[in-house]
Amino acid sequence: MAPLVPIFSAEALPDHVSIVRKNFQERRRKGGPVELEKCKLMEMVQYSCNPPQDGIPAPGVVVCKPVVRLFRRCANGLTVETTAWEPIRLEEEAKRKAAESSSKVNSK
Amino acid sequence: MSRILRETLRRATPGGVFRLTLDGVGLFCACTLIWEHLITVQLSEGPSMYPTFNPRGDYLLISRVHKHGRGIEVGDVVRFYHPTFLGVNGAKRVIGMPGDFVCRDLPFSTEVGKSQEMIQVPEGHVYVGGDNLPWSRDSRNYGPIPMGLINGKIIARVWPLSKAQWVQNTMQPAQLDD
Amino acid sequence: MGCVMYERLRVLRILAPIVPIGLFFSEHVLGVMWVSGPSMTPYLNEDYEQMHTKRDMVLVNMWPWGGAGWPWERTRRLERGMVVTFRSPANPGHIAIKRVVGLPGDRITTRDPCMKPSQIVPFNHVWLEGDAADPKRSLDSNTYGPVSISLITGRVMAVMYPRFRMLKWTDWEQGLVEGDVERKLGDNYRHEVRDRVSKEAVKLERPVLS
Repeated sequence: MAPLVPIFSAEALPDHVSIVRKNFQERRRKGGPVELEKCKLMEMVQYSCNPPQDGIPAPGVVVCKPVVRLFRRCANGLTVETTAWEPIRLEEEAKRKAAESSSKVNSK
Repeated sequence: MSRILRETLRRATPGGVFRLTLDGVGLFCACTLIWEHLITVQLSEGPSMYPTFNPRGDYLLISRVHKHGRGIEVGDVVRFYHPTFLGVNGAKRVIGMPGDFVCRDLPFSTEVGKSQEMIQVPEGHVYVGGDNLPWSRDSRNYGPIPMGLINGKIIARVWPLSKAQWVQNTMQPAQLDD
Repeated sequence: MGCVMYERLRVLRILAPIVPIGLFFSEHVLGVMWVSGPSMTPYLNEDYEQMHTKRDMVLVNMWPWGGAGWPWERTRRLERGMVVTFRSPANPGHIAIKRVVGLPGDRITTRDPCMKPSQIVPFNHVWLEGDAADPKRSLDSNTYGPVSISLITGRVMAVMYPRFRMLKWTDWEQGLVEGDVERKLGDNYRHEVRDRVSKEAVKLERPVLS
């Protein structure tokens, strides 16, 4: 079994990205905070073929559904899986844009 | 026939037999060392890496130079000693290297990221996942595995010949438009 | 001139099989390792306090526990008290030496860096700890959890330098240290470690409501 690691929610991801673990102790990452939005977006496709929830398929029939994992690869070599965080980021951006456009309308 | 037998008996001096056994043992040891440190071929089994590998079994070419995680990146398929079963090897794709962050899903889940939980891969460990998510027993079951368990990188499928191809690293720049 | 070359080639030809046999032997049968670090004091590296550079040399038996099986079977016969070498889960390039304190099914009361107060050792894993009295001097299972038996590479059979002594793991249960004639290490060596191990706890803890 692996060492005990803390689990955190995807919303707190930007905070946790700047923690680095060396010798099993937590330290702040050197060189300033990591901005996930600026890191390069990568994807990896895996599959979900004939899952047991879908019942027993006809013999010889294989139905595969692609599952996409999204990653952000940053300059210092860090790879962060953002499959759960990207929707949160898009929602926040949409909210921010809506707030900005409504404030523009108000000021006019 | 009897002439061949007489010839070999004449050559079978104690010194000659000793040299022959020494050469034989040396050759066996050299082959074992190559098999363990350079290159290996093994038959796979199981549905956890479909469609990359056939569930009926493919013969895979494994580079032993990459043991203990040397030169491994996210997206490579690695072979490792199974953490929970002695004497068995597992083959899965690397999702996270030490220090990276990965989504923590329930075992045998068909989707990624649904539970909104994330962990950081501890140092010296890798997080592995099979390509056929609902049929793969991987790090969602037994947690990140120590890199010391990795004994090679799977680089190609060599048999059946019609399907011989290199095993790709499927991590690539995103092609979505959002 | 030609004769000397021929002689050299002949010598090389005879020595050629010795190299792979030697490498195979040192990797799969018996090997020698130097112990560095204070985590196994005073059992190994007794003089760590005075001389950080003087390292003990140990003989490691890599054959699966003295004939418990052929190399391809990968069976392991491990006992509590054995000192084993293994690939460190913290650093895969480094081979570490620690003592087996708990076998699968034991419940261990953990000490310092470990965040959970007690852990059960899962199937196919062992609990390794260093002998050092101060838990901060030892990077072991209290930091990285139970270690998979697949990581273990060999068992320490004897210390070769400075003094030759064969290590007998059976003495661990009685608290004896072989070769310790002057009783420098006291009676009942490290009994506090054995007291923290509840042997085969899974057989005793019954998962029923009663």
